[in-house]
Amino acid sequence: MKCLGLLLFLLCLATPFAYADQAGWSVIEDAYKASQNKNYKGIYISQHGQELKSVEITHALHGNEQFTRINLLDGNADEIFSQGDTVVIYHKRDNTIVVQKREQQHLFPAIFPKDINSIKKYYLLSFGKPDRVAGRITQNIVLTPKDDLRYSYHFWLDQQTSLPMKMIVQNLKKEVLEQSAFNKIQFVSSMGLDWFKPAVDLSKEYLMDEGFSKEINLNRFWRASNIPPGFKEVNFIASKMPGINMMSYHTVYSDGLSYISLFLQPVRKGQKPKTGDLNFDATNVAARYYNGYQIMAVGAVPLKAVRNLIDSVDF
Amino acid sequence: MKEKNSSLFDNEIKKEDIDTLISAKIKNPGMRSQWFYYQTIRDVMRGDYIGSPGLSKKIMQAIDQEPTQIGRYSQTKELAIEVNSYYWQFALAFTVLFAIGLAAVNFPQGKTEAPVQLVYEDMPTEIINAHYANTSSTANYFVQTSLLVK
Repeated sequence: MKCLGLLLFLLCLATPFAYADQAGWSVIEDAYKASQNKNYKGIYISQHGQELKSVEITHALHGNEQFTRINLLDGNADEIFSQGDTVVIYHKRDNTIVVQKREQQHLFPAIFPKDINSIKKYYLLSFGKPDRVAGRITQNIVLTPKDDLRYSYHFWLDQQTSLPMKMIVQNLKKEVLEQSAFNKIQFVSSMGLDWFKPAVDLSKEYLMDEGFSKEINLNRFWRASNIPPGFKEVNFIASKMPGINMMSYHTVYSDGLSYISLFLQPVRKGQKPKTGDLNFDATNVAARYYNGYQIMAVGAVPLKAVRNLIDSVDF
Repeated sequence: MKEKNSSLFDNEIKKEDIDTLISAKIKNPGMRSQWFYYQTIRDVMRGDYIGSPGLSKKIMQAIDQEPTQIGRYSQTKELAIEVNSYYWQFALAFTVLFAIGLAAVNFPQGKTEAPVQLVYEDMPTEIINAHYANTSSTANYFVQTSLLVK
């Protein structure tokens, strides 16, 4: 009996995380709702590879619509304004401010999708120990991939509001690839919208960038037969290549947490097509030349996922 | 029928012929494909054509299927249609040559430069930026994708 007790004790020590049952997944749904519904203002540090940046975020739910303002505090003083599904980014430079419309994003802390079925299917959820982040008590959870086609995600969710306070992405060797963490945050019950306006600088020239990337509904002439399991197409952009009457194609796939971009671009005369694989920071790139087209896949996923994808492209 | 087709395309067809021609187009697959080719050529000339890997092949097939014209066309009742048919022969020949030239300059070629190993220094910036701008959950989202920003 003593031996059995000792064995159970050792097992408990060896397993610091407790895997969640079906009901445990509600923490992800709560985190998604918190990122949509809570009013807050805070500053977080965002690290990708060797690069570290401070970001200020203000978020409010006004009526049924979300308003978010995100300011880059290091380097260029760029700003993002998001209202509902509309996202506009202001690139601020010495003499100009370029205003560009962007696709809706899952920027930290609003990184969870509404539909978490794919996450439930391809990740294991486990609970770690409570911890303090930005002066608040949080619950650590880990999403571990069931296969070797995606990375693991660690989150620290605010115990009071469920908002993600910290996120870490780890590769299969448990190396930290990217992370974002609040160091200061303030929740309020309600918030006006006087902060939701760009800082206009009349001494600078404002340029609207509308024509760079044109979205066109086209029938694709290619087919990718080996999209990693759980990844679905979430975006498709066809752009006219500058200088020639040809289109380049950018398709984005996601499993709800990880994203892969697939690019098909015609190779111009004199241009050397690329082949092979490349890794930098959290990003893996696989390149292939096929039937006059440069095919590339880029993603914060293991190399195997991007390589399998581009090798399966046929037309 | 092809001459009437050209007239329709050129907005010079007689009103009483329009219904007959449109009905023929709907019923006749050959006429539909001919109409499609005329529109493609027009789009190429205007620079509106948005790409198809099989364009030059389709143009060459269409040329092969055209009968060789030795004598002149038979006289038609309407002078306007006769003149129009000559105009379309020139226009068609010009646009086919233009399209083939365009294809030769722009389209992916079977014999391009030999592929080289991908290295970080040669990684196309626009691809990395387009990826981050559409997928990043971190500050990489602020990446510059605009050509207006230098």
